[in-house]
Amino acid sequence: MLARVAENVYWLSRYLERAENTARLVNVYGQTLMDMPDVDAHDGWMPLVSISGLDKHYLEHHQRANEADVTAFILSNTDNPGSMVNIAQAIKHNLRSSRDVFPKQMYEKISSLYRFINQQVASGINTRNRRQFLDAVCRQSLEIAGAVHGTLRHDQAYKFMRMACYLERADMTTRVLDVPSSLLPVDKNAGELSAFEVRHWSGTLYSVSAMQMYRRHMRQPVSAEGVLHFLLQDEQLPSACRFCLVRFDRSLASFNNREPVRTIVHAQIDHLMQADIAMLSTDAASRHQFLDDVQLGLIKIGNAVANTYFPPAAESA
Amino acid sequence: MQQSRWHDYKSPCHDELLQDNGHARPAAAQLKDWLDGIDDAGLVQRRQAAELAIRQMGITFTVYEDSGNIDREWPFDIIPRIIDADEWRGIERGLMQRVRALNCFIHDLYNDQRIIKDGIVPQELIASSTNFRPECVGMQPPHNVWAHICGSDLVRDSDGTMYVLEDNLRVPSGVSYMIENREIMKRTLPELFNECRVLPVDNYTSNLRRMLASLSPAPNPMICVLTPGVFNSAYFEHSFLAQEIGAELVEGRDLFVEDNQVFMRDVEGPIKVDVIYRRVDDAFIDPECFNPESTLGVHGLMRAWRAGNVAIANAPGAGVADDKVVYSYVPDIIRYYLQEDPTLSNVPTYRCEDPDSLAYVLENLDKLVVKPANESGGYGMLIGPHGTLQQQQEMAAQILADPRNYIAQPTLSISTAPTLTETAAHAVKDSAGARAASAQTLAARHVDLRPFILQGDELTVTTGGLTRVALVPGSLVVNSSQGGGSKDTWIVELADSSGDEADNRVQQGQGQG
Repeated sequence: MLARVAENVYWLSRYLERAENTARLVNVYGQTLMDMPDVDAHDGWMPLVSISGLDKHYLEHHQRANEADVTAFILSNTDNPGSMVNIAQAIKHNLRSSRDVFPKQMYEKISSLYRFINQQVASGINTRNRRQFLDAVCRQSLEIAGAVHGTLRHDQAYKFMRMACYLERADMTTRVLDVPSSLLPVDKNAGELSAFEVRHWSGTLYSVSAMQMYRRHMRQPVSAEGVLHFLLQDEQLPSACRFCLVRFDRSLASFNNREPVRTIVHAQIDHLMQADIAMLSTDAASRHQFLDDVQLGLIKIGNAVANTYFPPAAESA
Repeated sequence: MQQSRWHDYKSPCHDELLQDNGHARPAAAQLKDWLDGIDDAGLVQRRQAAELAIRQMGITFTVYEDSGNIDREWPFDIIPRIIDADEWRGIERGLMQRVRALNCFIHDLYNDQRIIKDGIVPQELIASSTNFRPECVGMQPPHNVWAHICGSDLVRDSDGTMYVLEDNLRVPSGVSYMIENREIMKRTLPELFNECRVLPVDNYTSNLRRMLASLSPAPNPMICVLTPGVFNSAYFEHSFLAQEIGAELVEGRDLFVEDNQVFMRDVEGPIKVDVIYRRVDDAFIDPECFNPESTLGVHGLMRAWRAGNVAIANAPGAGVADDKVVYSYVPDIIRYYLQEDPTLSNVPTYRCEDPDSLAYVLENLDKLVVKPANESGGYGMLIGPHGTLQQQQEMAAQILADPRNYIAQPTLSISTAPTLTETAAHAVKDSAGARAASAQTLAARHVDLRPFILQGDELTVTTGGLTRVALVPGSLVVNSSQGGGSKDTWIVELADSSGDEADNRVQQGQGQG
């Protein structure tokens, strides 16, 4: 497949995954906050901004982080590079350059997703209709994923889509795990999680669609240690970092010249598996440092893919 | 109530659907019955179904505006334009004859130039043609064919005769819309397909693939569609065709030439390319050979082509015959190379380079259509009867400055076809009393037809072609960039026109269903 088109397909897949993840995240966050009556209504939404690493950008333009401002920032703000409308724009851009790769029905599904996002955002998203909108984005994304899996030949284009999707998903998982817990009230009874903290970690699981799987597989109450282990090191959970990297490696297996990428992927898997989960669950600073390192590792993998397979001087769309 | 839909319908010239007495032409009888039987609400539904299909299928074209490039949804009228299959077969023969002769002509120009030596066309015609490429002289492309894909524009005059208006031999576009229009109609008016025998159009893409493959000796050649990129107005079509024929859609930067061979940059290394269906104009395909500023082309492509290592369709230089002055010689060209009389008529054409013609044209600017010899897309032309005095004067100055670049033709009374229009909401009386509704009326709008002809090792023609319609009342300009739309074109086989009894039985069975 053409290197240029491979790059478009790769970014298309990343943005599709990002749209779904963003929708789910905002949805879950809103619902979690409903159960946290003590959170400051004016700043309670800041963690959502922090997840995308845009604190500084946000605070330049906003005084407060209330529901209306933050959801507008994440869904409809055209100055926010990671906003839903900009993700829709990026999907459109990359689909346009790779249209001929996809079966027509798949093209129709993807293009109706970005048109849906634009229409809905243009007609206004509020507390009342937000959930419906976000659920629809998630549902359409799943349909697209199904169409990719079920109709696209599992050739190079498919493999690039998978790899992109795994990187994007692992990245989101680390971001969600890295939500600053500064909002959490300090618990005097060390060793016992406050109800508040349980909600926080449950929210983390919900944000990556992993709550039910946690219950089924871990068979223990939600705890920082349990969640960190599950989302970082589980081999069977689609949103777990290890799962993503192992599957990434499998998709890579059908390509030539894969060694430079593979070396980095393996190093990252080792890094994940060597994590001292018990320590990370109690020490917020080292947790942040560790997750930061994982994110940098994911970026290294993405760069290695670009250097190996995409056209030189590629503009990352 | 249905009667009123036709009440104000009036064609100023030949109408494709109605005869002068108001009855439908035989091939359009079922369509007329259907139109008479459906109410406004039904028509609105069908129209919305078509609009939805166009959006879902992503059928767009790109227009250039000051604010940037904008993807517009394809303007489409749901009422098909109908041509009797018997008439069509004659047109098809004429188109094949024309393209065969034009390819002989192009090949001759770049080789022996017999037609000039024999005094049929003047030497100056070539010397002054902006599309004659000296770089192509002496080339012997496969099958001696240069224009592999030709889009000819046909119009019908008031006496019912079909005329060829021009032959597009460079990078003609529109065929994807022809195919997608049929797809839209299948979603919009499915029941009509059961009632009339509409011949299918979808064999074009397999013919295109076969034709392109016939240009390479390789048993399973690697074919690319070369596009200028996502911002080109016809990008939708490039992408559509690549997908339909299983070719790679490439941009210039995806290709490179080494040892006079063309390669594409695959994720795992170079892959040799055998055939390039290029949708980039000659001037931009190779900066080494033509426009050095071009970023759309491929360095060394002409070398690879001249070495016979890659086929290019249409061949570089084929545009020499896509010139409105050459057009005026086509009947002579057909007689000269094929020793046949032309089947299709040419519009009488005044060449402004000829002093007598020039004088006549300048005298009659208010009656004539004047066109630059080398423009496409309807740009730069003057439709005399519709032009202002100032526009006529400006055109006169342009002609005098460069007579070779202009031709003039009598203004034809281009035929019309009924097109759905919506009149503003008004009260409609029905049994339940007065209520507001938008009335769906039919208006006569001018149409042309662009069939596509393929020539490789054999000749094929699309079944019908792309019907373009001037949506603006009275307008003769059908280009989508200038307010035109399109219709599906139905070549309809009449039940009793076929000599094949088996076919008749099938038809009767379906007709009763």
